[in-house]
Amino acid sequence: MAMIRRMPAEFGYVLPLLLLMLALFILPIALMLARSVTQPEWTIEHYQDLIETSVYLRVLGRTLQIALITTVACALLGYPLAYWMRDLSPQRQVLAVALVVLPFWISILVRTYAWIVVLGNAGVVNRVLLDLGLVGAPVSFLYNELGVVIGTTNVLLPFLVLPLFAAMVRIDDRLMQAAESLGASRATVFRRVFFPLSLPALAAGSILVFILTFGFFITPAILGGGRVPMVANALDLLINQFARWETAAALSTVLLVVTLACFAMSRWIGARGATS
Amino acid sequence: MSSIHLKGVSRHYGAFAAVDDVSLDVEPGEFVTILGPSGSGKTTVLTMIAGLNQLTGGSIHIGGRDVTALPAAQRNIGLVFQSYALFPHMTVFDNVAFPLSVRGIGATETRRRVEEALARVRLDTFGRRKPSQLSGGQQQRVALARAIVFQPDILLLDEPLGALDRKLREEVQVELRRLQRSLGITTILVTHDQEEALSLSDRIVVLDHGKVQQIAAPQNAYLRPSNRFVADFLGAANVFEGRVGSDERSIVMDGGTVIPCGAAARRPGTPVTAILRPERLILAADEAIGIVPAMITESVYLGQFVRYHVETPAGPMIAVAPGGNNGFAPGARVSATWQPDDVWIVADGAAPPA
Repeated sequence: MAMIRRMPAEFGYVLPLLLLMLALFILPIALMLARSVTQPEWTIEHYQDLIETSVYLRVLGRTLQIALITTVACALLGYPLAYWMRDLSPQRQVLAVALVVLPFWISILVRTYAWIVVLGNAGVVNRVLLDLGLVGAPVSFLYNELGVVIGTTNVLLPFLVLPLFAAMVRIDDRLMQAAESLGASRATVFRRVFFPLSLPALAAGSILVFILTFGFFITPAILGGGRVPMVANALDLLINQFARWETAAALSTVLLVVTLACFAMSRWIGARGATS
Repeated sequence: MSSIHLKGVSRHYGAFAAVDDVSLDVEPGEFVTILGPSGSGKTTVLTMIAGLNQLTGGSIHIGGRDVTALPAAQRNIGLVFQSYALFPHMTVFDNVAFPLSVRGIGATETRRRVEEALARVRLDTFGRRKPSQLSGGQQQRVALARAIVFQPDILLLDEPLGALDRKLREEVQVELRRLQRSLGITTILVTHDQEEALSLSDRIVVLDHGKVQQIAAPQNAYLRPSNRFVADFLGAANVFEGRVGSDERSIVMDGGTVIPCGAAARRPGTPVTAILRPERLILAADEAIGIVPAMITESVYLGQFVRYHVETPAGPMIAVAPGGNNGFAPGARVSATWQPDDVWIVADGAAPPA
């Protein structure tokens, strides 16, 4: 009640921004999404289309798979990195955070093309592998799912590391000391005290990476070379090549629903983490 | 019940000595308090006994066993942190069960012992709650239950009452002492609160700048401090500076005022500093009968007590008397007197300038 009564005064301040968002962001999205059920008349045929045409299901399935693999890869790389950064001296922590953030300053396009140079058949990685005699022929890293996963993992790793690191720094050292003094081995302290306390941040960061990979466009487009279309690439094709706006709208709706569901889950985990 | 022996324990950080050559013998079942201001190194001593901080010199024995190089997890010590350090993601029951489960104790035995420990701190019905749902005093008691549930050899308490309000602190003090006595567990408590130290301990270790200043029973530390620092830290004091009189039972101040004192154990003429606790300074309405005449400059009513600030030939002094109706008003001319034995020489004074 108090909130409703207090609303009008504050409402006045946000109203201009709210209207701007409504007119320029919410409304176009709503109109776009509405196309999936209103064109040419009220219908669900575009969704039937999605389900009945195997290519869309395959794209969705692949997107889901790549998003999951990227998320797991980011978690496996990011957790030890954040854990290592936590124990550094404050000056070194600043340096480490700067290094983690550094890629953000380079255009995502440049970074992605750089992977082509590194991972190509004549790239650094293949040359080293060949010279060491580990492989007989160049490994194809590019234009397949592996290349897309490598690229997205590289781009999205900071989104997991930074919040995870921030959460780990906030875990009180005395909790681990207390556990140790109560007779727990180092491994037990980590397993029963540190890891559970870092889990909400790991989950939230993972969900963020998952959401971002799910709608990723540039990196899959370049490193997949058109052979690994994900949802966003399929949308690009549907609109720019085939002009099938209704199907694109239906696919977008699916994308939005998955994203919102993930977001709701992360909020729920965050709230649980806060009360515990 | 285990004894604790610290021998020449030191902790240096580069050239800085946080703890410098501390030796201490704690008897089995004894309650010892390490008292000192912040930065005195008292918590460092405690963390070194617990095994959470490395020694740079000396050795620590617990129950006759050399634990100097032993990791914290193998020392079997109950430790209560100032911040409680309860595991926020576990229930009260799981917190208290933690030391038992890492020791591989079965579910039935764990349940019995956790319930017993929670009953001891009167929190038997709180097992299913999370620490965040408890008050500060309750969290503190959970931390205590967790520290005793595995029958540790010794109990270490790091300012356990620091975060509690005054009334609660007094309650928990009584409870803590009762618990310690009933368990008979050797206990070291660290605090900066001299009242806490005086009321809880069998003996007090006063620490300053990493060095032991005095180890004594509370009353001795309070009335017979070994130096000026201990005297000031344990409470207010009237200070006299002068030279030992020819009878060796008085101090002659610079102005000529003679302060009767106990046996000086120093040669006549030695410059000394002596203290007299305010509640040992007695004010009498009759100006003639006292040792020195005094004039009340201020009276502060404290409920149980009245604190008088007086001006005397020996300088300004403070007296504390039981609160009553017949107090002295500012401006009243009275006299001050004391038992000579209550004037305690804390240090040889600085040599007068030549």
